[in-house]
Amino acid sequence: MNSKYIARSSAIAARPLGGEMMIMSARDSTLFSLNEVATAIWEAADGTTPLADIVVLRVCAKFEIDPETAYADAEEFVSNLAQHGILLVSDQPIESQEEL
Amino acid sequence: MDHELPFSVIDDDFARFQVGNVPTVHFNDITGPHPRQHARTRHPELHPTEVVGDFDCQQASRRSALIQQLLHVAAYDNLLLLARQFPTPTSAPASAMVSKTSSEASSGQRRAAHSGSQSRNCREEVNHNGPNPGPDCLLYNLDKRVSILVLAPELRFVVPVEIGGVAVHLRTDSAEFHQILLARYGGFLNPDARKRLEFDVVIRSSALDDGTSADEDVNVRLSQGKWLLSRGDFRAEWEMTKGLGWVQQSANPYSIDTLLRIVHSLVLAQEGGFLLHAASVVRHGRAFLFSGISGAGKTTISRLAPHDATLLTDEISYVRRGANLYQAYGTPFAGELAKPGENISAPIECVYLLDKDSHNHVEPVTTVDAVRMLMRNTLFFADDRELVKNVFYAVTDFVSRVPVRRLAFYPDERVWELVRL
Repeated sequence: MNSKYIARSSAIAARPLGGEMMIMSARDSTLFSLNEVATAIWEAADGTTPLADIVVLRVCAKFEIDPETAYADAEEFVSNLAQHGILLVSDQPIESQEEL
Repeated sequence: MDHELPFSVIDDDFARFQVGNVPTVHFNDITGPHPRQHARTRHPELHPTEVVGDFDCQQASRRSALIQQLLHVAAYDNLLLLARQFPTPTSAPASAMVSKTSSEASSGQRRAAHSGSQSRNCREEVNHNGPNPGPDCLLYNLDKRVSILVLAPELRFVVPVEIGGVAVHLRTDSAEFHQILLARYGGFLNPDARKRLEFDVVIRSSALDDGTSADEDVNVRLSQGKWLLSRGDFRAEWEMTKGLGWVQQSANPYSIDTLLRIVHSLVLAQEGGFLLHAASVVRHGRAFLFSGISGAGKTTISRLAPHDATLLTDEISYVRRGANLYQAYGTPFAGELAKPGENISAPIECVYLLDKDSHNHVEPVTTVDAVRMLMRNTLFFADDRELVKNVFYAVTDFVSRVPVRRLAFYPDERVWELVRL
């Protein structure tokens, strides 16, 4: 399994509201709401922790999901958010980011 | 100084001089080395232009003659005299600036003044201004340098329009447009409110003269600290930090109305508020908002409001965060009712998202839907990331504090039985 790193884009605005994480892309004003599991991944997206570790530490440790399913779900979720530019994905650690 | 200056000093630091009871130009905001670079944001026609030239004024008699000349200029009733300290290449100690504003100042005159800047003779300079026997402005240095500063004509009328506690002063030289403003914003005039922004209105008989299409859509963008606003029928610039701007339009109330909506939406976004496509009505001391796009029923629900209700607007609601609550303010921005709202405010009790149906019912709305719908109905003019973020934070904070429900209604007055505290 290749290492994957994720980082929150700076071109977003986010706020927890009503038990969900509301995220708006400042680029195209698309609105997302993340459930508890997705929020846990989102909050751990620091650019330096590999996605696999995030899934183990933040998802499997807290929610009853088997690691394989959890990682597959996380990958899909991550690529979905990346398509809208609100999450950055790389196979290298992401140190800093330019405004997208 | 070997002579008496023909004017009185009002302000030493940025010395302002005044002849008789002639009003002074508000140039306090000009600081720094060069007036032109630090002048207020003004319409090009209203922008002061400085031309520096060396004049043979070393002899006291020549200086005297020059001052006599300036006094001659001062005989005109709109003369004003200004002076300020600023360094010159010859390290002259001080400059006295003598100015005459002229509402007939044209770019042609400015060019004439500019081309004469190398003249050694001040009289020639004065004569460049055609039939009006005075320069628009002279900057007169007591050492040996004389500059000409074409000052903006002062605008005669100031209309202080206060909406949502934000006072915008609209300045115009047009008596016709002054009357239009008074008629349109009559209920929202407050000369005592602290001025937040000031716009010079430059009236054109036809909308724009730069080849822009008359049906061009609203365009708002931030460029080097300035908001550039335009639509087919107007063009404006505005420096938010200085609170100064200008707008060029024809003498109609619609262009200025759109400008005010844009300006207020941008000001509010910085202060945790927003303008919402919604009617708002005050009843029993609380404001109820009814949000929806055109045709959703904003005007209808406003018309159906009971007699003890006060209408804040049937089109654009003004939402601002207060100490604990969100407050709705009346606006002059009217929809189909074509009637400005009352100039009062009240804490917001609830927002109803309007929907039409065969019977009246209220339904809960999920948090995500509430945010999505309010974002959709918020007035957005600029494709600006900071603005999007600010509005998002304002709307999400609002949703965390104020209930949002869906109101499906059949258009008769019974719908108001569902709208209660």
